[in-house]
Amino acid sequence: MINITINGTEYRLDEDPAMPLLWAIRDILDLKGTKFGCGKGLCGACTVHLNGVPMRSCSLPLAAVENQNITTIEGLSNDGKHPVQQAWQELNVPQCGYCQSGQMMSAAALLNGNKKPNDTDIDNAMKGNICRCGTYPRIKNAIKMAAELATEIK
Amino acid sequence: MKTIKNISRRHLFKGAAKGSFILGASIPTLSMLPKVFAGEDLKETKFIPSVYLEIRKDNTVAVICHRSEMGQGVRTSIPMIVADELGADWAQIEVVQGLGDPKYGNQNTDGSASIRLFYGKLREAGATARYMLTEAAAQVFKVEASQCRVDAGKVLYKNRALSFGELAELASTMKVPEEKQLVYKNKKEFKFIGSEKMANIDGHLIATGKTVFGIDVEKENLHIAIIARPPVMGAHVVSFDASEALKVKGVVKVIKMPDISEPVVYKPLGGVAVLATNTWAAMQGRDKLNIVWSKHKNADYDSAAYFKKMEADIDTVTSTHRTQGDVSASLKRADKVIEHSYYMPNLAHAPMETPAATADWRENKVEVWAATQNPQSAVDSISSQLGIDKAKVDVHVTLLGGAFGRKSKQDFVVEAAFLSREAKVPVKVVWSREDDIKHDYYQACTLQKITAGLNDKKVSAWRHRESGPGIQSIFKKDASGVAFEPNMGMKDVPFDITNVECTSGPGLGHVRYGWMRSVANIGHAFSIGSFVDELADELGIDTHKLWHQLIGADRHIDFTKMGTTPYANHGETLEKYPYDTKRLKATLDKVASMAKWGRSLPKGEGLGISVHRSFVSNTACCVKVSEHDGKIKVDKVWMAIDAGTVINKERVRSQLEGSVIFALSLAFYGEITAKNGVVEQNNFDDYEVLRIDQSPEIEVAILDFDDPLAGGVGEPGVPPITPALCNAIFAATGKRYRKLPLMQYGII
Repeated sequence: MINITINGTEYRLDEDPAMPLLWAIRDILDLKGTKFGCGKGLCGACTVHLNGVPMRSCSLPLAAVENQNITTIEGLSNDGKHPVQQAWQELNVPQCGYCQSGQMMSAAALLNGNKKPNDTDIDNAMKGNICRCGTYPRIKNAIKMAAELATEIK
Repeated sequence: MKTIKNISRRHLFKGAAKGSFILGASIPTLSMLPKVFAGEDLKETKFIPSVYLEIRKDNTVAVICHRSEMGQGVRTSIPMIVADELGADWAQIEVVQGLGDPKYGNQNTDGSASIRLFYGKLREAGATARYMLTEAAAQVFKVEASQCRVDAGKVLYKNRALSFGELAELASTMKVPEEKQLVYKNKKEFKFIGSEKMANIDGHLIATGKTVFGIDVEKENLHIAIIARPPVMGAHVVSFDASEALKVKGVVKVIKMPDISEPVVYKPLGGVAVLATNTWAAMQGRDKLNIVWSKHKNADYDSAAYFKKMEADIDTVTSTHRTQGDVSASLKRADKVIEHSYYMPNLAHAPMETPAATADWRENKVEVWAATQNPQSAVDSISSQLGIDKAKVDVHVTLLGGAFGRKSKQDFVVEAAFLSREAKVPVKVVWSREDDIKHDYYQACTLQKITAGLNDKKVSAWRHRESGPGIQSIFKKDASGVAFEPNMGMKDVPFDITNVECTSGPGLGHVRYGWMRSVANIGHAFSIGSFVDELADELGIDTHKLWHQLIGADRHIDFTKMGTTPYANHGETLEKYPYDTKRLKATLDKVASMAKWGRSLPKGEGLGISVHRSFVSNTACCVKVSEHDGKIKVDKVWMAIDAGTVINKERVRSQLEGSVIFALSLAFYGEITAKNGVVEQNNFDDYEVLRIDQSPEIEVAILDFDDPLAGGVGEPGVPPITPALCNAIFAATGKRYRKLPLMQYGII
């Protein structure tokens, strides 16, 4: 039995301790916002926050996250109004939208630690997230806008 | 006190409505909670003037989107058209995804055709509804219909107003107008069509992680299936041992898939399926299968050897696609002959969402939810392959996490239907990334050779040859070479040259081939666009000027008079969508102007340019690269598109931006190879794609020729980019690359 807190709710899971967190989130807890893209930590679609740090949930076995705090896209905000979520909508970032949960989670983590990231900071933080639709230029602009919004809120 | 929830997958379905399914239909500006739609009328609908439109008593206007959403924005642009012609308030619009049903017309979301095929019909739906709503209001106001006007969801007469919702019931009793009675808005009256910025109708769902893609579908008692497919296409299961697989916690059943027969078409590849209560268990179970595969002749397929065969076959002509004048004779008389060959390997689509489909087979009927580009084809495939009447097959379309052509193939949908029928439970088939990379319907490799004969520095002969496999190989057993592919940028080469010859040679298919975002336009534009640049260099003329010279005068090209085998013109007649050289040149000129083509650049920097027509749109590209320590960096890309009438300008721009990323990705990295018939690549570590740190600055211009017709947008961006890139690299470094991908040269 593994205890884990996801988006503020504590769960007790009776699953294979080797099951990647991604599949526990999607199949056991029915939180579908976190997506599967590669299963090997190469694409970033499965990005969640582990105690605030961005992690690829496809490569995190349940055993490794026992008693930890996980935030998924569903828990990024209560009302969809996290600066990243607002900027993403304002700039019409997504096309198909599939990779965007992971993109937003990586972006939110970047902004948590860096209030005013420059282009190199953005590239380094985001290059683990693939987008096949090619929304990269808009992601860059949205991160800068989210940084502005976040300072305005303060 | 903290509450701890004991949770297992069984608990998910307690209390869930049987057959409930949450689709990503969204209501802009309203709550985050998704609405439940199953492609049917859930609310009390009162006025249904068209298959594309329903107006409800509660004043919501449902637009039925019958085309699949894969990021090209149809779920937003289709409602924009209807809402505009109808005169609705955008806030009252809901989009409902249509099931696969011939009543909607063509649902094959392929070929960049959604708008050009349906622009007229969608406006007709809006105009018809507006007419009948106005008639109804006129009756209530006791005035003439002509005295009323429609604005933002209301019919108005002086200071009186009635909402669409209030009028819905009465409107449905009005006489349906004839086509000639309909009054259409003119361009100046549009509020949505052609507007600069429109929010993605699913934007809020995406931002909050509430989307439902094919892979996200949930059903009560759903079992997940992961399938071990034959490593070599065409091989069968000789025997298998599932004893270890069945020991994995969560694994419920192991089922053998039907053996594949050729032609492969959209049939499941075969193999052995592991069904489990969760995806992880199914994956673990598959890893523990022991399977003995039969030998198949496709095991002889070796990409390196195949390439040598393509080289040997490049001058073998098996089909002629255009023959004008006498190229051979002209080449003999030429004072100079220039000849170059270009190569692109097999490519994988690699959409972010791997193929996934869910089926629930009950007695003699099956319900399917799939990320499919073509739900009618899914119905047809399930019906013909599994022996069930089409009327008993319902296919719902989810959001597609990218597609690029892969998800118009129904193999993965048939897999789900088959397994549900066999296992007697709802089954979701999920493809792993390895499955997707190793068992794709690849973009076919192509070797192309262009020969130009020059007399007094003018091109008097143009010969374009190609060898390699064609898409027909999946439809016809042992089919060799290309068939319809030359319609995409080869035989319609728009040059004013007296002697032109376009031919193709042999090439068998040992893996599945299919169409990938702009298809054969990619290879043809790469070859022609690079060759024109090489010619320009040879002649000492500017490339932009040479394009003008080669294209020649403003005219509509009539290929029927130029020795061309029937020209498909992307499914349109030349009368309706002429090949207009004036617009082609204007598109090229636009991008040249944007990039300030012709300016001098420092050493190690270069510009490249190209133009192409595809899916009845013109697109041009200019690329700027710079070399740093032997590595190429793409600094900026300019794109110009002439697509006639465009609906959602912002989405057109994003599609062009996305085309840049897509094309750079395939140029830098794209290569699928096989050894002993088995595809060598597996995942994003050995099939690399472009990442954000390689993404250039991109500028897009949309030309407007006041053309009332719409052209394609989803694919046309791709073709001119690869030649422009390689031309830029030549300008910057003096090195010409004719064989892709570029990573093999150590310059990426």
